Amino acid sequence: MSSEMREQAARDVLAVLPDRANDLARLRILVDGDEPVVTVIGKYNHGKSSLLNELIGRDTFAVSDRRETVSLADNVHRGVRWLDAPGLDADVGTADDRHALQAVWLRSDIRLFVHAAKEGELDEKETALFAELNADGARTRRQTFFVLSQADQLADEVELDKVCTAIGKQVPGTELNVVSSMRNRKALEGGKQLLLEKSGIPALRAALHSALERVPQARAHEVALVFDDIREECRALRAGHETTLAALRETQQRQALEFRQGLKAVIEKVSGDIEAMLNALGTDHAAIPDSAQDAYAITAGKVERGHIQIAYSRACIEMDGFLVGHGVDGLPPEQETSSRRMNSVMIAVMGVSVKFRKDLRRMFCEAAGRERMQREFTHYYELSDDRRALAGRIAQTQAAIVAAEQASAALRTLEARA
Amino acid sequence: MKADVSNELRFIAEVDGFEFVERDIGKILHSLDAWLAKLNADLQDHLLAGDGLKEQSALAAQAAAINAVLQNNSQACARQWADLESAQALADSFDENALLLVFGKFNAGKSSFCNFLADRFVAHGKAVQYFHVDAGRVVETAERFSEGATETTSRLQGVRLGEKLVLLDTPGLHSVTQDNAALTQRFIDSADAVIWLTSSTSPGQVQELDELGRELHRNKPLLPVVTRSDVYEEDEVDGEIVKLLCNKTAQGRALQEADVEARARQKLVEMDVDAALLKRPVSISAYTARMQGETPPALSDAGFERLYAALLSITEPALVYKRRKRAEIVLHHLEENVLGKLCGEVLPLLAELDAASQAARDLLERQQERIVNAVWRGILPTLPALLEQHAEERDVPAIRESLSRAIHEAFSREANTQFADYVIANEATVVTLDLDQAVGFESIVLAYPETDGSLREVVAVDYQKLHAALKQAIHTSVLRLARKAGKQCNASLERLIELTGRLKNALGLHAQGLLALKSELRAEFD
Repeated sequence: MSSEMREQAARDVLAVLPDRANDLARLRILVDGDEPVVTVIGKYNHGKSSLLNELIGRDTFAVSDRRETVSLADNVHRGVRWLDAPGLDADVGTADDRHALQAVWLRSDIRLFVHAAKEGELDEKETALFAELNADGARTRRQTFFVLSQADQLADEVELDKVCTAIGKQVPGTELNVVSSMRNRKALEGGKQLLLEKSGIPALRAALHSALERVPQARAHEVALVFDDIREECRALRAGHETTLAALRETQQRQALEFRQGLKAVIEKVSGDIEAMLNALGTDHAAIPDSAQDAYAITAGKVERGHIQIAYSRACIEMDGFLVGHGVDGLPPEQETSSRRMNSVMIAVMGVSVKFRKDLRRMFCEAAGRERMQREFTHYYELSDDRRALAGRIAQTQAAIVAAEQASAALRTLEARA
Repeated sequence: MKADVSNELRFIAEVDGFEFVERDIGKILHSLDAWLAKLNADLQDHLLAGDGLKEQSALAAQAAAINAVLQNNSQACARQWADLESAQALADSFDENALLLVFGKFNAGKSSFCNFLADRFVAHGKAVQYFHVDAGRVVETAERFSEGATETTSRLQGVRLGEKLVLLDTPGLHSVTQDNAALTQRFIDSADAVIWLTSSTSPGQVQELDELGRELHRNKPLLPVVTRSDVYEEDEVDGEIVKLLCNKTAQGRALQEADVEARARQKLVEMDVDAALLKRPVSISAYTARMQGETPPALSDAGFERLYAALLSITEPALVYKRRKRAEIVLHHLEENVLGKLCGEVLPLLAELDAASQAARDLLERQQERIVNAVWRGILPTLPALLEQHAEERDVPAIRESLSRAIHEAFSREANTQFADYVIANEATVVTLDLDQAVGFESIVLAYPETDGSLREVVAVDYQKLHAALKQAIHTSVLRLARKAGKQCNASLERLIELTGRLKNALGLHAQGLLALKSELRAEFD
């Protein structure tokens, strides 16, 4: 897969699961399938660099009796990458610790946890780190070797036994791998058998060799494990959003149904009232204009206009009450006119013109008229603040689901090419 | 004193020559007492009050928690002072001594270090006395400190070297759980300087210094000592491993010392401590010195001549400290147990309360809006039926009364929900509706002209204008109610924020006052 595609896929996953950055970085290293990586970790000056030199059989890493390794040093030798992490707690700024973590958590397949024999027991930081490494090993099958280094710096076997017993209590059931780089060096230089044996280096090298052979299986296991974890998290995340979405939609539909039914009932009621009023009027006089001499006379037309006006205004009042109760109040902002008096949904739907008999019949007594009111009020209902906010939340949740789907797809892409 | 006398002899002689001259510190002690009295009085004056907030509200509870701390403070610090006093009597016998705190991790070789120096004093014919603290008492013992690669100290132990010097070895510096806490603390407080032992195997793990923050802030000099600066040389001879313990080379030691010094200095700067307290590190090996018979050349090669020179250099500032020690102890008590503890507890609470009050204030407008909306949506749908009901009688007062009651009910309900944390002082059950007297039901009246207007017929009753006016009046009235309630809530919050700020300022002023007394003390005695 092109690195561009891979990066895009990783971005898609990270957009949804930002906490998985380290896992994705580790996956990338695993998928690249480079040579197995052995990392040494431990306090500075505990002889990590010299241990690596003896294991490789070459003076590759700088050695000194003080804090030396401050950044990651690595070297490939016979198909194995050896990583010398800076010592834990070596620097006040803890930049070293970050390098060490990078080396230990992201890049390593096998860890050598180094502790100098002369220091006696492990301190709290060391025990915590070792426990963390073992827990990780149980999950990912990455192996950690405990290495008790600089065994030559204890007075005698009795001292060594004491130290081993004390540490054995701190890390029960752990093989301690007692080594001395110094002895190994001397033995090789002078052909000394006892020193070679007591150096523990050949034994550690053999143990490492068989652990290295298991690295491919461990990596395959870890790849599957990390993919499973992320896939499951993606799934759970999406399921959570789906639940939220279903609940929001249910609310949206229930509210809409309640509004529609309520509105229909109100329209039917006021329409019934208006129809009864119109039917009681008999002959239509309203359209006949009053003549000049009618100004001070009661005419049939005047009576009729009075009745029509009152019936219409009551209908409007009734509908207005229902609309306000449902949060339909005022026009949506983009439809506001300059005159505030006009900013009413009632006016937008019903208009301001004087209504005559035929108007009322058309609006209230014909199905098309009633349906128009139902439709237009519903339109404004959907534009009300609360309904818009609800629709916004639904859109957000849908977007989150799409992102989760994308992440899942991206994960499948990564997995297929792994 | 002869020029060729060893540093060891000079040190041992100097130690027995220590003279502690008590200076009159009555005046400064009086000022410190006055400071404390003023602080306690001020705290009572600055108690927070949650007027307008319900007792069960989160803000009122936060304020009450702060008040509880303030009220407990004077009792708590009196109690601690009594503890210190009783421990003081017990430890008084040590006040005539120079106390050096030997600090380091369990594997730094603290016991070997103390035992070795004790042996050197004995070698020069001086008496030494080991002791430890048990059940709040000082217990003298003939036993040396136990040594070993896995040694652990679980209690405060010490050794008196000659007449005037005490080395203290403590498991944890500030553990306060054990029954020896007060006495241990008293000893540590009395220490004049700190010797930081760090093993040559992994020297200068400066994060250990975090635990020394308090001692360093008290301006106690810090001498790093790289211990176990030795190495086994090995070889295989005739099928057996032969070992020889040697000192690390001068060059190797210089490298480690420079590294420890550089990093410790950086750490002190980071801890905001005067870097001048740091002395040049010294490397030693008690093992090689012993192995080689503790002869003058062996001691010198193992680093002890340099160690004694360094110890001599830290006794001078230690003596200066001794003269003002009593006042310093009171000062530290006030700084740490009183003001430090108080600020440590109260300042985060004040910050939380302030943030919570600001957040509550920012929320008020939105809450007000919600109340208006809910009442408005509840009342308006009832209006058509109400108008219809009273149209025949044209009874506007009845409508007003009914609406006024309904608004009051709805508003109380909504305000109780939205402003649940606040006491709203509006118990009037009548809500005024501003309605123009001229607006009312309108009759559509027709008069018969042939009767000269005396015969009239009411065709119908109209209430369109009345509806519009009532709608307006309801809106105005609900808005007014909500604004009034919101204003009350806001005023309660403002008061609380102001009180919080005043309390914080008061604490700041007292901190400044104490700082001034501290510089006065140090200026007078240096």
